[in-house]
Amino acid sequence: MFAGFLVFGCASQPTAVTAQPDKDQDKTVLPQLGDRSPRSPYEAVLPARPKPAGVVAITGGTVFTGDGKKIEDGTVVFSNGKITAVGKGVKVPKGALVVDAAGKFVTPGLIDTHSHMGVYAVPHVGATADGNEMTDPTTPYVFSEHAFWPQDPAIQHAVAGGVTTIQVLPGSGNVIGGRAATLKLRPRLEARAMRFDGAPFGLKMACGENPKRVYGQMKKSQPMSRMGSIFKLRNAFIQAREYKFDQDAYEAEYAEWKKKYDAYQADDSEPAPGKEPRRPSRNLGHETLADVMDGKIKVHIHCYRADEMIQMIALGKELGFKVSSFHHAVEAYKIADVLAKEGVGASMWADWWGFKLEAYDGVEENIAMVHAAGGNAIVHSDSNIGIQRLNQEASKALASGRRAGLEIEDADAIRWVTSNPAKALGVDDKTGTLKSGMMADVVVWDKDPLSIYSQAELVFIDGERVFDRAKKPEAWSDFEVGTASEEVRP
Amino acid sequence: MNRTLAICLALSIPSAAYADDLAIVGGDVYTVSGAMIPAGTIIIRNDRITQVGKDLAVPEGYRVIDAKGKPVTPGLIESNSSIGLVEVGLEASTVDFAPNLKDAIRAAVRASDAIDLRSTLVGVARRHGVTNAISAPRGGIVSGRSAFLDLVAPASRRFDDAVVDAGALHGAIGEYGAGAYGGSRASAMMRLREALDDARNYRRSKTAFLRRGLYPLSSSRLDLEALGDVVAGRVPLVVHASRASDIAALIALAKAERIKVVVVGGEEAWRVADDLAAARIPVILDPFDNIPQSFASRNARADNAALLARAGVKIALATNSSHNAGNLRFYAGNAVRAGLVREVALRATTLSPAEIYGVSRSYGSIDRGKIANLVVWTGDPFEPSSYAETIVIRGEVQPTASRQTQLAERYLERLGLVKDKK
Repeated sequence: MFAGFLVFGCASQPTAVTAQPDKDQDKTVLPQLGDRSPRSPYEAVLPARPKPAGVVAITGGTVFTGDGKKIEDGTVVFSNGKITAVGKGVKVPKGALVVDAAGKFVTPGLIDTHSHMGVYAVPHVGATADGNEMTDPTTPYVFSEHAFWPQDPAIQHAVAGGVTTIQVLPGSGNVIGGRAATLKLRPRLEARAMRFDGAPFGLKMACGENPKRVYGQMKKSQPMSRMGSIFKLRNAFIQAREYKFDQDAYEAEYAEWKKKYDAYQADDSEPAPGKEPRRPSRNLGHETLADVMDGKIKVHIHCYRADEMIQMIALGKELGFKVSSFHHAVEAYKIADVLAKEGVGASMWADWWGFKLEAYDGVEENIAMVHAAGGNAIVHSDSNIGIQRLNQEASKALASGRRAGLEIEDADAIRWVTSNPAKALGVDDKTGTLKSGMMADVVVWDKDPLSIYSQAELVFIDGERVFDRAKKPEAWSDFEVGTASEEVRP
Repeated sequence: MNRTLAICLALSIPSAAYADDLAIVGGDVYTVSGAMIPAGTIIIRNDRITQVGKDLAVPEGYRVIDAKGKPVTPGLIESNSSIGLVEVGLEASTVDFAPNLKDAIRAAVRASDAIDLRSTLVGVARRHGVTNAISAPRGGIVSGRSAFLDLVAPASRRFDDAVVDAGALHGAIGEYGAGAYGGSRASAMMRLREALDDARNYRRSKTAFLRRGLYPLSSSRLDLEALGDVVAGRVPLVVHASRASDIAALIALAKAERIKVVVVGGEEAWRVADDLAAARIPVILDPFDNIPQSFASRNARADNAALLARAGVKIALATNSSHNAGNLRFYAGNAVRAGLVREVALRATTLSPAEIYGVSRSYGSIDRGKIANLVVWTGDPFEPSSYAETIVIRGEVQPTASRQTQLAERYLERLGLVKDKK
């Protein structure tokens, strides 16, 4: 993978241009300018090619819109992959495929901000462990999508649980783990064809026990302590800022030079432009962090403890990044007010705790408390089992909150798995809510999704019907062909 | 003890009346052993159920718990945890379930030697209606004897005898067994067979062994002694096995060695369901296991529990978790969602585990003469929207608070999120 980067890097060097004096005419001949835009290793080369099911109208269901509203006897209409109407008494367009959802429930497709599907695919063997580049504690130059195996058999099971969008994160072994991709769970042969159209990249970082365990304890190298981790993080951003400064200076200098170049080309009585400014050498890691500082990449930090989350918010202010969402955040409830005030989300489990010391103070009221304090509360999975029942996890968190005396509506709990994660991923203007103009990521449930017995019956992604329980779907993954799992209904 | 402190401690337990005799009145009593008794009454004296039925008179002086319209079930039993053997998963100094021993046969290891019933995990599990847990050692091919726990609070009168040695030894074959001895499934089976054989010979010729008149045995005297209960057929060996072929090998071993075995894990057990039923071998399984997490569970499927039950195999549902054993009721709900009959799911978290671990004379159902471990729920026990309102263990009403709820309360108050604390 790294070699691939180098090839890209070499191929994308701008053509060397030095003005050569023309002996015959005794005047400067301008060199042809090459393609100077550095090629990105992150561009999608294949279009996503959704296969929308035409015009679909889901009628008569109880609709959780995802932004906190609940509509009884509602209709959801979508066409060509986009939602066109949502509400009670909405007219069904002529020729629409009608799904009778009377007695059933409709929600936006669920969104998981924290998945390692595809990068830690099943079966879990050495050959499928691709989620942690643990050769360097700061690897902003790697990208989860480059390791994503679309044949991971777990993917289809997540879809059967109503999940349509995931953020695929690198693991938390490194202080800076790398870029994260946001994908739509449509069955495709290549990760880039699963790209969520228009979603920003994410950056995975980690504080606390993991990096110091991986490097300090296992490899006897830096970081061995939380001090070392913070240094590594700070150092990476400081270097990236200098890189960005050099890049920005070069861009300004180049623009100035290009102006002269163009003027001379138009009229050779203008002064010759002189030597083209030299581009500083490229550094993919710095590029990623520069984009983070420009706000183009969303920051997601694996962080458990309250004090460390506050430290990370402060570091972000010092170094020039804003945290979109803390992940796991088992102590978010202790600083729910701070998270709300700072506009920082928290991606949490309903009840995982105690597997390490930084998870020892986990409480089942965590998600509800972050919500009640006005924060962006998110149910995440970090698990190919949990992702199959995000709705149940939301339901558990809701029940724990209510039992503690917090007043929370059912429709709010649905936000934790739809519009709130959409916001953290920077796609809340595209999905996570059922309203006109949004992507047609829609799930029909046989029962209230907050019930443990509820099952997704139909799942649409960009209007494409990717799952239909009634049709006994065949296995997507080639891995499951030729085994008895072919019989398995996810 | 300082008097003020004593009062504070007493107050911190919501129900101070541990010692009352109890009458639970008006609930829908899911006895599990028999039919549901609508609006039934349960009379509890000391730690035992003395009467169950309709329209029973409440004896004078009994504390009445109103369960009108609420389901009452036996306390749930987690069949495969390490509660009390772990406090913080990654902190070795708090982890006692995985002894680092060279020998793959550690039959003599006893969980009860290391259990800390004051662990914070106990209250977290109990809050969700888990009244009992098997706490098992791990590792090796034979890991040792588990303990059976009544998950009582430290203030309980029963605290001092709430941990007993379980009637089961635990172990693993398949990929785990291979990892523990020789790197092959075959080497693991060979070592297990050898140990059982030696245990049998040791039992027969103990005196010869002590006089050094017996050939050198493959395991220590204590391990062979401990395996004696298994070869005598007195207790089962609870063996982790995932792949259908591993389970088939275990069925064959049980038959050849005439020992009782229980499968734990059993992701592919549905493929050999009929053989398991014929051999009367129970399976302890996790109903969330529906994807090929390893090559050994390539044929995992969500309706494993339903298929096994339909074939007549006795099943117990387990979280295989210590910190989150409280989720057992949601595991049961998910098994129902995947096709398991409701009543079987409840049985698979109560009476069936009690039978598998040989304690069904006292545990697992709401019957006269049984130990009073039961739960009053606010609604369907398997639904997240319901909770365990009253938890009775050995006849005592237990606290529903845990270290977690205390932490949450502290911050609910500090952040002013709840005005009227319940």
